[in-house]
Amino acid sequence: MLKDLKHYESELGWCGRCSYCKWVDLPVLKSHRFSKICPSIEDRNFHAYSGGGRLNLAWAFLKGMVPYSEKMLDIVYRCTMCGACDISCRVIMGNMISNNEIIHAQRVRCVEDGQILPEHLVMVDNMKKEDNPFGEKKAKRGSWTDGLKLKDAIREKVDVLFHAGCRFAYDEELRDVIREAAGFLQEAGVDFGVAGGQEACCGLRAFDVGFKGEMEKYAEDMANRLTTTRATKLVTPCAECYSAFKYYYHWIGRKLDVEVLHITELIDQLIEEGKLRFRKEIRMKVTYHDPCHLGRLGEDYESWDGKWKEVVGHMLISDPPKPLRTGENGVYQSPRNIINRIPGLEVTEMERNRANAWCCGAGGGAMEAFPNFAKRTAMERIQEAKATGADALVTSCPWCERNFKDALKESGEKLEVYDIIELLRRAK
Amino acid sequence: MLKSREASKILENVVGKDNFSEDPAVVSSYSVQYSSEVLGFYSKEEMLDKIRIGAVIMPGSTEEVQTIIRVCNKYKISYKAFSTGLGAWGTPRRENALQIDMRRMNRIIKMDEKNMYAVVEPYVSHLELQAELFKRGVTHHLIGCGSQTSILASATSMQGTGHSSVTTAYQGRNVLGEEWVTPTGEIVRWGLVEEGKAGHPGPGLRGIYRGRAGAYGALGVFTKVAVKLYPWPGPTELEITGKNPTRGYKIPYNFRIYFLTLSSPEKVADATYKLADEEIGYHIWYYPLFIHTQRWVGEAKSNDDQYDTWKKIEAAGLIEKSMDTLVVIIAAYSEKELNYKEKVMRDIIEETAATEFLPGFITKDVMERFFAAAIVSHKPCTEFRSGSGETGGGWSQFLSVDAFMKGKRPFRELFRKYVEKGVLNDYGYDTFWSGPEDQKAMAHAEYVSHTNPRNRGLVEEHMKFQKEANELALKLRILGTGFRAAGETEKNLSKYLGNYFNYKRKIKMVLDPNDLSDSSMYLGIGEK
Repeated sequence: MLKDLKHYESELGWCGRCSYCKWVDLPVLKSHRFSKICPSIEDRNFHAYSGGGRLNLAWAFLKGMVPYSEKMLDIVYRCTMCGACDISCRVIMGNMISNNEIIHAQRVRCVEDGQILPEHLVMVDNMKKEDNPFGEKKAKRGSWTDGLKLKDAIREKVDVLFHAGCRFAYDEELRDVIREAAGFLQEAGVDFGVAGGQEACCGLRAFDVGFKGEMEKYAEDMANRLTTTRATKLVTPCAECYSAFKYYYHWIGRKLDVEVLHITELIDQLIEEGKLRFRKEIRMKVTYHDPCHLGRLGEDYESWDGKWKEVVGHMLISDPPKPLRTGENGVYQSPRNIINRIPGLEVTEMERNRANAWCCGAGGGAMEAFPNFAKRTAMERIQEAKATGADALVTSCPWCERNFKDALKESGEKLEVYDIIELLRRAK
Repeated sequence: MLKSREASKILENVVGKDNFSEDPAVVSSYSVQYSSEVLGFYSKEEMLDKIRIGAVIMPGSTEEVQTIIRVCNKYKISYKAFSTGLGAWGTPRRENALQIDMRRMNRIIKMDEKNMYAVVEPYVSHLELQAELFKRGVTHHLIGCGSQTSILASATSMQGTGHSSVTTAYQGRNVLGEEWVTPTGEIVRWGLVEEGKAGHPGPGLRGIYRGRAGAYGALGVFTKVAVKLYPWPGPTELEITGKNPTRGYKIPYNFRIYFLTLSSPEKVADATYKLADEEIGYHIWYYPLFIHTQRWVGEAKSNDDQYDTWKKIEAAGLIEKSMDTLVVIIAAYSEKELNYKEKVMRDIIEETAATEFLPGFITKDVMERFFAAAIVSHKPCTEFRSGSGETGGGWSQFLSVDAFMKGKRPFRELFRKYVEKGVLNDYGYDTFWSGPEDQKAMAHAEYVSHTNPRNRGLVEEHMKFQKEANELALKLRILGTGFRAAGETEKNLSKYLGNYFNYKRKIKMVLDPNDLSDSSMYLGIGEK
């Protein structure tokens, strides 16, 4: 359940400033060049921009020592909410500090106090008006299905509800990805449908910038839609939507009562079952980018409402035991299984991968309010991909793909960027 | 906020507005540092209020550091630099002081595996350098407080003992050159730091700028250091095992690990000396049971796990049998050498009647987790988990293994006294660890103690315990220099060691006539 910042006051005081939050999990560190994990402190350098620094700031804020200021808001909002600090902190603090929850709670508090960035306000207003962050007409949302003859899940019973997500539904450059994905599901005989114009945003982008009510509204909306469709599975090609459905909705107390799958999980399964085959050779070397929301933020949420009690004197243990989110249980293998099965494709790993992947920069409202920061973050990942000698960077999230493409365009550097579905289309 | 607006403007111009800040949102995050309270200042609740830093500045070059120090001298601004910033000793204690954050100076300048040295800037962490060194078949001394910390900080300004100290010494021994901006703003270079020039040893200034324990930022700012490298018997890339947050490394074929229990502290010293005499130990360390359960034995993911493991060990009746222990890693470059070392190890085990430590608990996973902890100094900051973000401790080095072992029993009694008073966490017999340095020339010993850092009364009691522990060590003549001992304790210690504290004071007066480079951890708070 979402809690107020004040609830975390004890946790704020448990940070010992070890700085693990700034690095990849240290045993997996492979080089000086790609050793860091936090885009925010890499961009601004002051400790306050790190995971631990954010805890320190929140503590000082709660004690009334830090007033709202332009700088304070810059620190609070210049973060991609990638969850990396949350995972790195586990190495040292175990289940004691809920970094990701605290960072969200701080933003929620800012919004409650009216401390909102104008760019975020525009985005949220768009969501309120048109159910998407871009302000595109709601009526256009289902137009990506034109000519595909997909089932309308609102009218017909289906096993699987296919949720396209805002970025795929409205980004014309990326829209073919979901059209292809839907085609693959048709080919494999999956009984699925779409909500078309009835589909709405998952709400995560609003929640990430502190508007908890918006996501609560969208969670309720999705729950109702699932009830209407009677689907037992919810499938999405968008990593952010996946994270919202799997992790964030559960966290805010609106766990969906269906199986949530990312499209890569379903396709991996369909290939395994022999229902989909990709035989055409692709002569290319690729590297896979783990989207934060599919990886460390794609791990299921387990609620905990226990207490800390002292043992052996003053050592604190949780009662009942507090679940430990490690980031290790995100969706890492399915995308790899898929690309590894494409004939001719040479797959190489970046140094920072899986739970230690560097963020693409698109999340947390960074793309909207700090576009240069978002692009610098993307370029860091692009440099890492290039260092592997890959011809292309492959991902499974439209926000990552968009940000990589925009960053490449602006920088003038060259690297192919694909969604996994695009590679599958070429292998068909 | 700094007192002089003019100085603020100048400093901002030196580094650019993105690298200087007086905003409370920025500077408040520099007030939180572990151990502040048990060094005698306040409870953790008061930390933010007690440490009021005036501004933070992040220089990008030696020349910028020089200008900053000159500005500080002109406007009489107290300052302190830190690199990766771990611990109370990195934070200035005077109000409205300037915190110099060296984060932007993070280049590995040179790695010379032929001549066995590397040159780095302040923010390069141990594991960043080590990852590159593994590829070159060499290693360096990684300090015990974690591989996320700065190499330069321990080499130039602190002590820097580590898991492999028996073979790689302590960090002060490994300095082969440095670049130093003195408290009056002069740049001093010696040894192997000058890029493009043939290395030369130059005059050794270590006795002046760091001595045994380091000056903890009281003598200006160090901007480069050259450190010694050592041969690495392992592979160029270690195979990772396990998952976050308990990863380990697969143990290479030419390494062996021994977890041993001895019958007394004297036997621990005896075994350590035998191992050192034979020069077979890559790693020789005594860890208390508390550390084993915190970091590698059992699930070791959280306090919950640690407590569960402790209970299981208790149920197995092994607590009392796990008081005096030793963990040894041997490594070899050939099968013949490995066979020889294993044979010697077996002989020493027999001679000292060492037995298996925690039978039934030392699994393959435990071994692999321990190996990562030992080889790349992984996870020592889990102390913060057991201590709710805090950890106290003391004692030091520059003595012998048997001297410290002599102190173990009286220390246990003192520790128990404070456990029974409800002040300290009860981790069985003690929380004291030690290991030899330079084969057996010296030794480091350190204890950790935890209380509830947010309870002012308990913190004050904790401080009393620390004082008594230091007095005990002085009485037994086993207190080393420096570490957590600045001020009164060190002055008392100094009486037995040629009044060396007076020399520190003189060095400080000569090098820093304006007394601006924060000396709270060198001479003590308020000391001049």
